[in-house]
Amino acid sequence: MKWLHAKLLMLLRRWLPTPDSRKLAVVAPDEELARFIFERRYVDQSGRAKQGAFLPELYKGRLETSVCRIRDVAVVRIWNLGKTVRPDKVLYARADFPHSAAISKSLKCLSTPEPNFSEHADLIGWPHGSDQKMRHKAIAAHLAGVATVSLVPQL
Amino acid sequence: MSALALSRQPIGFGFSRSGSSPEAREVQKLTRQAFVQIKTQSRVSVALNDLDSLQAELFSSNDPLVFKAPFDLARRFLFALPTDLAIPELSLDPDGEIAFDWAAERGRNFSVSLGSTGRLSFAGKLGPEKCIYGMDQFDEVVAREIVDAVKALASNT
Repeated sequence: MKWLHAKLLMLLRRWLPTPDSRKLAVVAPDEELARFIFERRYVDQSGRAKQGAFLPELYKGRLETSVCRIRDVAVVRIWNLGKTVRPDKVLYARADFPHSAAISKSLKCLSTPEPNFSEHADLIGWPHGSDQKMRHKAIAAHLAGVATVSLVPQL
Repeated sequence: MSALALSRQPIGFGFSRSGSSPEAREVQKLTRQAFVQIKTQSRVSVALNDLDSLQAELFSSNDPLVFKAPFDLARRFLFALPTDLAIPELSLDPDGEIAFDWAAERGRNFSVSLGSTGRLSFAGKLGPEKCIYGMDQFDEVVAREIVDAVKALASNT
């Protein structure tokens, strides 16, 4: 029976997606992404996104920027996701931008669904090295330049 | 946030303009310097107040980055900016560096991040196809490249 148990386990592992295998799903280049903004200071006085809104953070050894895939997602759901994804923060705005803008700067967007947040994705591929900050800012400058900011609707 | 309203009357207003003696010229020169100094300080004071606000916001939200962010260096950076440069907006990067942000129409933007060691990382999108980025060490003088980039942003080219 041990061999049967081992065989079944092997098949299950192959069929059921593990967290790592889910992360391998690359988001289509023509998708639109949204970056939730929790800091008022990441939107300038004219209502445009600043570079800081897109800068990556180190998470489990990888530099990444969390985003939300918004293609075919109802606006109400997008805002609800933004309001609930960080219980410790208050949502201020969201910045929408095309995935192609990130691809043009050698970033890649991987689908990383989370419980109750299947649209979650991560921008990865941020440069590493002693000069990484200026290179991160250069990419963020591009994303900030093409992003469209919407302030959170007041209900 | 409040800004000191300054008179736009020409420097030297209220003083004699007809004097041509060395003493009169010296008084005129000192007056001009005093006006320039006051004007500079009032412009910078807007940004300094904003920096204080940023620090207070971090304290009130118990953000640990408040102990990492180089606020004293940031004050010196603001004083080192040329007087004819637009005053930047301020923000805090996720890594605790203080960012000085400028923006213009059509998605053009430029930003300088100041780290606790005085390292400046800057980048900007100055046009549809014109992006710049670089690094510098802040030593009480703002690099020419940074000044030129902010001026290019303001020139609407």
